[in-house]
Amino acid sequence: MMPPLLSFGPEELLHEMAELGRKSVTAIDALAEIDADEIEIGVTPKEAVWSQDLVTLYRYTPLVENPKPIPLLISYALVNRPYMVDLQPDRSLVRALLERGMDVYLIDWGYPSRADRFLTLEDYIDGYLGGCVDAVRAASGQEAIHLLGICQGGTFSMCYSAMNPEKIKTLITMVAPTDFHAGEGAECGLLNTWAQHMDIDAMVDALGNIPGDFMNLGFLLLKPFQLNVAKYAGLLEVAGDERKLRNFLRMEKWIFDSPDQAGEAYREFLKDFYQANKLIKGEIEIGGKSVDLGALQMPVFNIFAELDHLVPPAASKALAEHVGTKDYRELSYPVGHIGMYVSGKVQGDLPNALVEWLDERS
Amino acid sequence: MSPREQDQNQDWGSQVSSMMEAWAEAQRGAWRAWADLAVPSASAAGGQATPGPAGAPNMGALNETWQRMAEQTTSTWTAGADPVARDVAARIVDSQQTAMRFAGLMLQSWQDLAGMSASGGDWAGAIKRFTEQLQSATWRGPTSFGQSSEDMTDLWRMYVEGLSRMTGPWSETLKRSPGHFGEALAGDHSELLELSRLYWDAWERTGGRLFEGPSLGFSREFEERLLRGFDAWVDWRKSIFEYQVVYGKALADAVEGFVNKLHAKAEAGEPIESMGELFTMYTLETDAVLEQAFRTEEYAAVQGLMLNAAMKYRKHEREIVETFLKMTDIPARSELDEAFQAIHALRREVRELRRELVAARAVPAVPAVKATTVRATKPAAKKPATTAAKKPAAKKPATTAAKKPAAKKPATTTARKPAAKKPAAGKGSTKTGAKPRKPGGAASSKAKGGEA
Repeated sequence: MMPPLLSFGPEELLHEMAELGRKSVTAIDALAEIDADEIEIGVTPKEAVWSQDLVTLYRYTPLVENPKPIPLLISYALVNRPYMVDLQPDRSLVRALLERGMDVYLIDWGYPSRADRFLTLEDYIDGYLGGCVDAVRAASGQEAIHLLGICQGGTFSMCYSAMNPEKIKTLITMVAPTDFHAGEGAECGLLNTWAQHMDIDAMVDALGNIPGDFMNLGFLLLKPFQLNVAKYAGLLEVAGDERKLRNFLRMEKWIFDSPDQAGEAYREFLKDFYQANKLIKGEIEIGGKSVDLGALQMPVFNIFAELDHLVPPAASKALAEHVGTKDYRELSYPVGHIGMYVSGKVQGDLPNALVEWLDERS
Repeated sequence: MSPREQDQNQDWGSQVSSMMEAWAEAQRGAWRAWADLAVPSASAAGGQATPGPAGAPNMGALNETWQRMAEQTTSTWTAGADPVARDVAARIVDSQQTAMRFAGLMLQSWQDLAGMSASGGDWAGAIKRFTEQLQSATWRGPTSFGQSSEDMTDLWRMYVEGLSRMTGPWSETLKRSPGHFGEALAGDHSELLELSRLYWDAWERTGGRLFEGPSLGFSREFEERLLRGFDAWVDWRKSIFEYQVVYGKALADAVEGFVNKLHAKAEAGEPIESMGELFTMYTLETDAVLEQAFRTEEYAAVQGLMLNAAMKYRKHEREIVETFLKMTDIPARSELDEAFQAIHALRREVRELRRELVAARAVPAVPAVKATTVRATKPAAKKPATTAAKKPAAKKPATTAAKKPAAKKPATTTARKPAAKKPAAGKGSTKTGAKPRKPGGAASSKAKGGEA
């Protein structure tokens, strides 16, 4: 006799599905109450202090009377918007750092248009990132500043710091890939596996800029049922709680606020970093200058997520094997890529760990 | 608010209420129908219900009706809401529809399972049949590339239908083309002559008005572009088919994995207790199996082929569209790209010149800084841009490293949080002298250097 697979029958199913419908109506009712542009993100006060082309450098208003003298510049990825580090007051790495006396700057890469299609990595790293570093140095009167690079912005920061070590006091990388081929099997990044079979030249030649929606599609395909179906079914359970609903919407806004990728920069990043893995081979050249990770002689703090399915831990941890400094530290959290910005545990711990580490080196 | 506005609002509220009620009723109807299918035989199956007799309502149609009403209602209801809220509402409807389809699928399979259960029959056979039933309902992949398109003519028709959306005054000519290319590709090249005439006519109506007469060379070149575009389109369609086959197999494997897990839980005396639990298990199992499939070379290759074929086709499509644009003096993408490339080169040159200017004037390296917005308490002028030149890259790092020996700093930080809070296994094993740090009990940390 086969044991029952299910201990509920059609009556229970009917009741459950009716309940699901009721919850859906409640959730949609709550959503309909939220007026246009009511979902605010990145609310910590800040001021634009420098701009060039589509790039803007912001300085956050200090929250203490005498902020620490060496400022921290945050360089985010090109793929999503940088306000993830300041999503909402109680989930804001920026605010937490300001509260601890840091002087914080943030680079907003902007939304590349067709006119920006020919921007290269040299423009982004040497031009814009370099311009921001110089602007922060000048504004603060410091010869060298702290640089925090996140995700792709972390990889950019490694490159810039290796080429301009005299301007970077300390380098902090967060969920940033170094070895794009690191890891075996499930430890290897799925995006890396896929990228090996893509004709990047054909893609950039055909599309010009790579649409943000195209990038999002790739991320959603990594966990298709959980990210496209289960996530919204799960929302029904919390939709009655306005605070949770708004938290969900802020995250949703960030996820789908994806700028297009400047075609030539995308071509270089995918071919040289993802496909050829040139960074750890010392074969990357930016504006004719070679990027040698061994030149990273400043203190390096490498932070990664243990359950990261976009930038696998192995890809981040590889930095340890290539930096020139002996003052290297790792810190990891049992969260995914996004959890690094929004997890309560990370929010509670990371700012302290960062500021302590910086204080010891300032 | 005026009485009239109040009335309008009331009307609006009533309308929404009516729509929502209709939606809810449609859903109730659909689920009553499902229940009617299954309930009559429930007792006979020892608790696992079996569907009722023939003559059952068309569940697919009922679900479609519900979906349509839900979409319309949600769209109207959230019309004034924040765009993000609107998107999320639409996804909730999609998600619920998926859950409803899944639940319906399970009900369909109930009879078979229950029958086997009641008769004490072959478990393995029952599970296999159940799996096949689910796989069949989950995935009906194409059996051959040619199934949807009987011949080249059919494919050509589909190609020009797609293309004609983008080709303005030429679209009528393109629509008249079906048959010609198919026959030409099949071997009868005389058809190309007829085709040439069609495009000649189109030329006369558009570009021919501007010039005394088109050259035959243009016509030939254009036909070649169309043919190359068609080839690329066929390759793309083929690659979609090949992708669907591989993806479909992965999905079928996922269903098998799900049923195996279901069976294992049943054998362990832990049957699933609700539709929600079942759906969650299905979701997690499916994504896990799909992820394994996604990691295979076979999947990555076939996905890459599809993507690359799509890009190749898009390039050809653009060439064709550009032909029309240029004929009507509308800037084409390639022309704009030339301009953008020149602008980019100029921007870069300006940046370099600004840098040189700043260096020459020995003022801070803030070429684009807006003086009024930079913090006034620390004027930029205090730190000249020549700093970098005074402290060459090779010197500064050495100084930094010497000032802060690796052995000291990590030791300071790691000593505060004992490694015992989080096992160091898998963390510190690769680093000499590393001591895991677990602030707040959540993180692990280690340092590089000689802190042993």
